[in-house]
Amino acid sequence: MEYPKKVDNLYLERLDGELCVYDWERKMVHALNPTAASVLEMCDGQTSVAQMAARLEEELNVPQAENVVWLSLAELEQADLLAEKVGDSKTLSRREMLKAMGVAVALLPVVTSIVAPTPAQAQTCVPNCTYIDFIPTQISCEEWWQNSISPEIPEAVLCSASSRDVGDGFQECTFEYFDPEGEGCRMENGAENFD
Amino acid sequence: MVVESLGSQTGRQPLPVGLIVSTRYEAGSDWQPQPLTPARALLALMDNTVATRQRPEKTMPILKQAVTGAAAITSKRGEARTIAPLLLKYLTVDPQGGHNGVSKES
Repeated sequence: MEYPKKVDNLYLERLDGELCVYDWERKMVHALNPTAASVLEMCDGQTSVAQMAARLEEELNVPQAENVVWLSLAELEQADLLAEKVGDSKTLSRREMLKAMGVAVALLPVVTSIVAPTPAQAQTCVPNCTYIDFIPTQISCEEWWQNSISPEIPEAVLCSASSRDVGDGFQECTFEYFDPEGEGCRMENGAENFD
Repeated sequence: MVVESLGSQTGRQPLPVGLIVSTRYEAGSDWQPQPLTPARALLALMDNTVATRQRPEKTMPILKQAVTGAAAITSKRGEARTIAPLLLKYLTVDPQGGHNGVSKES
């Protein structure tokens, strides 16, 4: 992708160099730190990666700017904010950049995303399902829900998540959630309907 | 009944938002507040704004005003009676105008 382009149907709001983005199509809201924000704003389909890197180096004093641009593009692609896919051959990991390139953590791109809430989510969360899973302790129960479970049942609302250390680097996560389908809980492993 | 009859004052200007706290109850959790950047604070507010889906072009600028100039923190919390005094420590009161400001110190 020589001239990256952001997807259409975005609403952008800038805050002190950061950017908040609403994706009309996917109903997602994203918060971008200054590096990711600058790169996204340059994704107009007419600015090359090399031009982006030059501008990033000039505006934010980012060393190894081209690598940072590629990492930013990978983050933006993961958030479905780019119209075309980024080839991953040129993308270094965050760890590689920190170690080998000497790029400060604050200069690395960060994109944080949420799904815009639905009216059902605005109500007091009364769980009608519970689900228990065993996951590594490196990730929180909430992150596990957001990354692994929520995509399978996007309409379900997590009411609470509690953790219990079971040793060997694992934890037992108990998720209580509201499933608006009302036809029983659809998570098979450990699922149990309160009714 | 007017508020003055109760010994209070009526404000004429909107008060600025002093502190945004993004928190969720979790039994037994420690209060460990971390600062939020303005964009992350806006994200936290939008996560609790149903109108976001229908009218982001309205809700985002309004919430941006709320976020601008306000301190923002996030943490899981235990019991409210324990956390409330800690939150109040973030706030200072201007004795001249009764305006709530924010201490950046934790």
